Amino acid sequence: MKLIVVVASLLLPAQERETSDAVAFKFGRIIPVSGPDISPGVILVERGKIKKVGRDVAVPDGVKIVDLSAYAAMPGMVDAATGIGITGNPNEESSEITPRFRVFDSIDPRDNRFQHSIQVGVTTLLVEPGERNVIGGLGSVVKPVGRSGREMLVREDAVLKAVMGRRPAWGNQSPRRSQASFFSRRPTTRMGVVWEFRKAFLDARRYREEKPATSDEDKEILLKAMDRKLPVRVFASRSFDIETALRLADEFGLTLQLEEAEEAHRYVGELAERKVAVVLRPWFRTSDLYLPEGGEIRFDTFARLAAAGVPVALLHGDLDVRESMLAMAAMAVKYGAKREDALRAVTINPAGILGVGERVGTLEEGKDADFVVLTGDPLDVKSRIEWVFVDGRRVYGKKIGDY
Amino acid sequence: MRTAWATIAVFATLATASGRSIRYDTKTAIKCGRIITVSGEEIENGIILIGGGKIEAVGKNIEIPWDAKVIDASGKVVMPGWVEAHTIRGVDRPNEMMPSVPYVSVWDSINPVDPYFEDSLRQGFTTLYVSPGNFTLIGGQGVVVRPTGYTVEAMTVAKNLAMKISLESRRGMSRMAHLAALRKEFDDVIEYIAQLKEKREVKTSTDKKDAEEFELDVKREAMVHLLEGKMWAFVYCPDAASVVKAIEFVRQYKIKAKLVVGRDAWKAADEIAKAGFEVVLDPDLAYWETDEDRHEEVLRVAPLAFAKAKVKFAFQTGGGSFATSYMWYQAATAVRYGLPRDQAIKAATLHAAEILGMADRFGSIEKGKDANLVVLTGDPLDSQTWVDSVVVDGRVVYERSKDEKLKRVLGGK
Repeated sequence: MKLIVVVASLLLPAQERETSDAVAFKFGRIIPVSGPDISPGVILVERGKIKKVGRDVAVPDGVKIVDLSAYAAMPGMVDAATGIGITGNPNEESSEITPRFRVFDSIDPRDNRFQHSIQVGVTTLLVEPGERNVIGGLGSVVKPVGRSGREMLVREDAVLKAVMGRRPAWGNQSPRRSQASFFSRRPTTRMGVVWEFRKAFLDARRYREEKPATSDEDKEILLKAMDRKLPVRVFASRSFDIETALRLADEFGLTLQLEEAEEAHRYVGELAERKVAVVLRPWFRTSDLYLPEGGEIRFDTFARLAAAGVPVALLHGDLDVRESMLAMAAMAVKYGAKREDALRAVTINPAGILGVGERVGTLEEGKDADFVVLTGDPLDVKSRIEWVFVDGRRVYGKKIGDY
Repeated sequence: MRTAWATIAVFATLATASGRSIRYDTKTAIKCGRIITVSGEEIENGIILIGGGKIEAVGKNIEIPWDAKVIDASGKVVMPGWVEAHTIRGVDRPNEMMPSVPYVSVWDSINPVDPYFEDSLRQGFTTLYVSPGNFTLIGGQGVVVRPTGYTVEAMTVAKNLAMKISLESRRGMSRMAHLAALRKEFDDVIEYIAQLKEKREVKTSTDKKDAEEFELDVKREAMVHLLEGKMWAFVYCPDAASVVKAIEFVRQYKIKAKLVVGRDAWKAADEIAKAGFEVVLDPDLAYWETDEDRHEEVLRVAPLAFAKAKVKFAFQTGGGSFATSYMWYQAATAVRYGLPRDQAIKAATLHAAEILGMADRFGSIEKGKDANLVVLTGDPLDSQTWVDSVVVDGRVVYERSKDEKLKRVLGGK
């Protein structure tokens, strides 16, 4: 019945985060995601990491015990596609191919949206360039806690962002129709988008063959992608954009990840066979006739992708980003998905897709002590997030006794 | 075509001739696993008896007439249909460009085949108050409809229920100018009423040749009704500051009014309580407010503030996101942040009906009320629950098993 919940300041110094003492958290139920639920259970945290998790964990003498037996714990959630923290325009509009641009250079750690993420249980997120460039640059994985980008950083070059479809061409004017100016931009069609993408990679291939004396960072990054050392995150909504992305991945030997993927239900078999990761924006509104980009509305896309074994992460959909992603997971279950799949889709799956699955995404020994404490089942919309912990420290929620 | 009509005519004649009425009304009995009556206790394994589109009896030991049609909803949950106390959807452009249009009605604007109505039924709404938008000074009159039927006439429950007044300043206008314009409109009508009264007095004493001249001007009719207390107004208050102005305004002109409020109007909850207003809440029930100075986020939960101030309120769906467009989600959100469950359900049914002044017909499962019911597969506030069927005026108007669109989005053929 509390009307006001004051969120503690999130500006916790890094050294403090790392040297926190051992603490044992007792829960009514632990949902580790990596295995069956443990109820009741204990999470033993030491130096920001999970030391032990289980039903019968021997708590060493002198270790502080925080009793949260009335609550359930689940891993901190992972948001696999955001523009949070980017100050100003998330698109570099002077050129349509900007592989060497790093969003990390424009992250404002004090952006309120980081706090909003924590409030809804997101403790790891990808910050990536926008959708106006064909190849927009490098996205970074951060935790929404810290005073500087460095403190927040989990993985710097996590994905190379590219976009198929109409967005990079949207509103562009060819120099011929109006006066050529700085604001005249290519491409102006879907075909043009694909050509810009191909041209960039073809140029990189030639660069490798010609071995010029001076290094070109743009091309080095594209080569890294062609060597499968850097996944390419392709924003593609419509079925034909997805098809194009698959074709381009074949042509240049890329590790493809699909983002948005509204019409991925048309390629379930192929995506499963090729193990293409999908970062899906779910859409669960029967009032709409078409999706924002004109695609076919389907509620079973997630269920089918997950059942086929596609590594799939759920996004907020059209949910206000200040609502928990768990609502989308709950709806995915209603529309045919397995409960485990839905929970994985907001935790370990996005962590794996971002290449940080070793550190976050489940409640297992050795992982970062990032967890969300709820009043009830995560998939019950009536459940409330009461506390959020990152690296074993309380970053959201009231003081628990003297802790 | 002519033959068809002829055939129908012959049959109609025969039916009349044989002395039997074609129209007859058998009763319907619904066997329910659980009845959420809203007005009273929940009933396990109860029966709802419907006759003539009305609820005739509710309870555990109801005798089912031998010829009644029986709907088996045992194992299911039955509750009154959701009531939307205020929406601007389902119409062609809700906001008139002219600032003051009290004479227009959304009745002329409702599009019966708008997907909004079809979807409302799918969600379990049985009563909707469709109102002019929030951005016109005096926006016109709203209509209560049921989301079923292919014509506005068939959908209409109550035509021109209330007048819409907005305190949201129009673009390029200050709040002072906005309120001044509003007062001017009302003062003009008051003057008109005075003139009318005068003319009518003259009329009775002289001959009737000028009678037409004294007829009520149709453009002013609704406003005259509002000022004479024959109609009430929904006053839209975008924020807490405008609530205070709304209270002043309503007192000054002695009109009957209820409020539709923006999300931070809860800050004036005590003033609203003191003035005795009922409110329809913003779709954003809970939101975070940023304290820029302290770099802190504060959670605001409007229904809790209004409940504490003892103001009667109804939820409203809409807004931009998935969550706020579902009534079950609105109620569940309120419960998540601490509103008692029964109050949350009332805010989406009975209290909404009371705010519309139609609680004698809608909002709960009680003897004598319209048989507007929803059959659910589980608890109404559970995300996993489906609306199985919807009953309006005693007729089954929606069945999930026959919902082609739902089948399509779920991947069926």
